[in-house]
Amino acid sequence: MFLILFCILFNTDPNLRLPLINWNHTKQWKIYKLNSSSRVFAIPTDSIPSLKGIPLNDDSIHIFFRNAKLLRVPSSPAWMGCYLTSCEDEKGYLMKIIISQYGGFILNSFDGNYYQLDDASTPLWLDYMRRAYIKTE
Amino acid sequence: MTNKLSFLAASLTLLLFGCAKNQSKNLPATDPVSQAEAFFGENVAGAGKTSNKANYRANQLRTIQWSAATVQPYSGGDAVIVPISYRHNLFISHKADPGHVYPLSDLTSLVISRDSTDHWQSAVITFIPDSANSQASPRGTYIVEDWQGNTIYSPIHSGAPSNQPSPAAASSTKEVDYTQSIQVCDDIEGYNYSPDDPSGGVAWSETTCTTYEFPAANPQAGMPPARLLSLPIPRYVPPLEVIVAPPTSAISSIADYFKCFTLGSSPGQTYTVQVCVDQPDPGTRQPWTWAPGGVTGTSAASNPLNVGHTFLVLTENSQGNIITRNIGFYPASPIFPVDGYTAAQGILNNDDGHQYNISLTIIVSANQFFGILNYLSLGDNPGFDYDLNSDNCTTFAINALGTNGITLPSTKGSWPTGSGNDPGDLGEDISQMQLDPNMTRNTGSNPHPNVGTCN
Repeated sequence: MFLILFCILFNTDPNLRLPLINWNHTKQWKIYKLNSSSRVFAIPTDSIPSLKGIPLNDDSIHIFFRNAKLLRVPSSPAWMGCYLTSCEDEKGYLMKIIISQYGGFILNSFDGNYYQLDDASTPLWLDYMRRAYIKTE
Repeated sequence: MTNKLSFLAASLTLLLFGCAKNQSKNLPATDPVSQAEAFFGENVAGAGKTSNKANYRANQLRTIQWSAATVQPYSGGDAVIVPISYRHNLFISHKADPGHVYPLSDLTSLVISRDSTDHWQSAVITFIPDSANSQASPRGTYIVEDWQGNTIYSPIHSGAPSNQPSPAAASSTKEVDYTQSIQVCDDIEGYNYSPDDPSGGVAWSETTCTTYEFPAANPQAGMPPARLLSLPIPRYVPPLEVIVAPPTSAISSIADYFKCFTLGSSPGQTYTVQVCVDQPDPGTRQPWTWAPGGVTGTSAASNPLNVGHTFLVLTENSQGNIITRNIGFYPASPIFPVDGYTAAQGILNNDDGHQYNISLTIIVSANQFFGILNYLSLGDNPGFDYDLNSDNCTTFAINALGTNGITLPSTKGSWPTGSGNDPGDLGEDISQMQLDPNMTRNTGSNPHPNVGTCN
């Protein structure tokens, strides 16, 4: 019993610790005209609605995230540029999603996890996000 | 993407027939699914027939999901319906329903039927919904093919207008009293989210036309086409509304990306290279920063690590005709400042959406410009790795110019797990360097879109 309690309290496996996002249930995706890393990471989620965003197509996102997996990381990946996006989960909670400009990974500030798209989708995803960001300019 | 997706059943006149009519060889008397699987293994997959090369779908990696098979009795026997799953993400759309796409795996089933005389048939059925499709009233087109991708029936339109062939009416023809000639053409354009496709493309099209001489009805047809409409094969799949532009600017071919640049030496033709630096902490030599406001308790177990980025904007001005291309060097997959995780295959990206806080623009000669292009072209060669310490984006930019006689400062920073060129130092070096007459410095980020196209 003590061992079980110990495992519950101290496990660090995010698969066990956190319910993972069901990306197919996310909606109201938006991208914002903000890609300065320091500002993107610093902005609180509840301040995002004050930004002017343009909608992303939910279904497109669902397709890209169809095979997304939790990215197990030894530390933070090296960020080399990012996009600020947001979406709502199935309960309507706003989530801040930071998207890397390389490598097909994202950081979900809602659950604190990194997710990675499959290799085949990554180039198209990066191109899709780049085009979407340019539309905000 | 919607414009790239279309489906066209160009011509059809009547039903035709030609299913796999092999009779099973002493199949074990087990459940229908096992018998169907045995029939398929012996008579269809093991038949040694080659796939129809004109049928893109039939040549893709696919898996038959026997564990998800269902059995549907019908008046003439049993039908086993088995989902087919395509290995890659393939999507398909109907011309009459632009903007809606469907995962091909959700639409495709293997149907194996056995009639009362123990004749077995198999068919791969793909149901493509049209714009009027709904859960209550399925509407769309059935494509019926054999496992090798050859047409068995002409496309069957369920819920079709009265001027189109009705499967029910056609199947009611009982007598073989005349022969008909029909041509069936299928022209499908689809979108492949797997750019690792050997053909190098991310879209596919297929056109296949076959002229058939056949009796109006074939008594050995097995399952009548009308029966297709009652089988529990996927009919209502929620459409995905997809708005994805064709991937024209992901740098899949660096030669194509650079092809608009022309080598010239006339006074009216100038070339510039802009070195753009996104410092992690603008105005300082910090090689990396912990991003502020990071999340706690994350799977990253730390705040996000920002290392910044360096990229190039290449411009040719040929008497007012401007060609501009952005390019940056990245790892193809995530890397980490941890020993053993710092390197990955390199890849070139279009950085026209990337911000920077300081840049250096250099007027170069034509030879220098094309020498730089040649160096940059190495960036996504297999085996040309990105390494956070030794071959990162900043190193790549410095070397691209350095090998062509343009020397940039090359201050190296250090961090707990390594050292090397970094945007923080390069940005400060640019900020402090004595500029040559052919150089200009700019602080702040301006839009820097790619400009100019060519044939």
